[in-house]
Amino acid sequence: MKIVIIDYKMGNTQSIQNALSFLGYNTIISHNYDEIEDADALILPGVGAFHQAMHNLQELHLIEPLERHVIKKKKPILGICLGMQILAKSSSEIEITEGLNWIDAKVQQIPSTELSIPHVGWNSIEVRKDNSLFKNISSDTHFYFDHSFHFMARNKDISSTTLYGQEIVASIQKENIFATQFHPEKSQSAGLKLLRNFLNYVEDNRC
Amino acid sequence: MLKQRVIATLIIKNNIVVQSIGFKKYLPVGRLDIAVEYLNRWGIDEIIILDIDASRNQTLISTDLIQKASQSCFVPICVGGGIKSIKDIQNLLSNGADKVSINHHFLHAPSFIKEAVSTFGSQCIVITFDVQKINGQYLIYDYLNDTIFESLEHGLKLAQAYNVGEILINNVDRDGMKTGLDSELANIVTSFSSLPIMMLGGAKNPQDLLDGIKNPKLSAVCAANFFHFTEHSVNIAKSFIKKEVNYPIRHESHVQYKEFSFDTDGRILKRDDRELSQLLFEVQEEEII
Repeated sequence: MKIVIIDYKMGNTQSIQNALSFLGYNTIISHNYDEIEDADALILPGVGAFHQAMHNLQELHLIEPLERHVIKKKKPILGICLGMQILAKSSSEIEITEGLNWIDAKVQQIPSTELSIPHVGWNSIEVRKDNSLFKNISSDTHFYFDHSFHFMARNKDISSTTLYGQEIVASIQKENIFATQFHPEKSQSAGLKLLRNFLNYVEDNRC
Repeated sequence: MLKQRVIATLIIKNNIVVQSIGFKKYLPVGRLDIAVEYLNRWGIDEIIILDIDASRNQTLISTDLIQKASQSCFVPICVGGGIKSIKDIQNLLSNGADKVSINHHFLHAPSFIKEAVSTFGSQCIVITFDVQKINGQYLIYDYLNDTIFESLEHGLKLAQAYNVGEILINNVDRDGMKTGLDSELANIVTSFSSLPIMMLGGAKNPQDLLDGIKNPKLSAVCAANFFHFTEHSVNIAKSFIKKEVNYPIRHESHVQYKEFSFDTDGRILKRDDRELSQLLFEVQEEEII
């Protein structure tokens, strides 16, 4: 099985590779078209600012090939943190920026209440939609979050939520598109289990 | 619900982990990658790695060291030591760091801090303050020149204005002194700043960590020396805290010490004789991921 971690200079690609290699999978960190073409699954990481992420994807001419493989060919993809946020229509981070528009959602700042921003640390999730990602992972399991903006999606796409002042989308799923606001690669055993579940899904759905 | 974090701090000197006492004396502990691997396995929430030689020697903390350590670490790693440029940060992130700690010196280089925040996002930038109490006032200590930098209040204001992600407060007076976390300092900082605050300095046992966690506004309690040289120090500390009151911490490590009781130092107390006589072996099944 070939797994490509998309390298668009926006993320902790090394951490994701470490986690997958612990699970026994070889991965390729790349932004090369041929690698993406051959991949059985894609991972879209991301740490940093939304507009910078979209800018880098454009600069590397990655948007068209990604769309072709994920939307048309239905290749499984896992977006992580900022890699989930850029799936939205748009974000108001720093300036209004258009996203990949694969999921009907908007990215907005977490309303500043009494709570500190960013939302950083281990928070428990509530699984909303029983999908392949949360096999053997129960509600109330903790995952590591670190973000100031949140993903406002439609109910049908939300697979889990968490509480931070208000309900916040923790993960989404739409057909072959999976994404998490938290960092599974940094969420110890629970995160490794989730990554294992994603890879099992890929394995089961290989053409 | 968001949990308060229990964080281990690893101090690096000459590329090995050391215990630091009063910012002056150092005891060798061992290799970073081994320390990180154990802490991760014992269920720590996060690891902060600080190289205390780097700034003095005008170098960056060794990226090889971080790369090796991150390979078996599945919790966030924050790395500090000699960071001076965007390239330094990039270098650390691509070698397995998740965020970076920048010492308070850089609050006087607003363009650098602002660029770092806009390139990597606030969540990636942690500012560390070394704090000292002089004549009843908390001030920022400049360890490079052994002088006072400025008032803590002013430093916190700047950090907030630059939109950094988190603050690490390192209490210089309590470093390695085993006097417990400074609750007065924690109260002052958490009421002054709305950023997530991590407190380090003085925690000698699980009771001290529990006392720190009793301030619900603290995002994290940290300890360095205490986690070394004791098997399962993290699991035991977390079990201790959970037992005292169901405080909001994450305790999901594989080995939970649920059936044990402890003294305040976190030492396991002997179990009842009758219970022991019935108990032959307790099998800990291997965790399957």
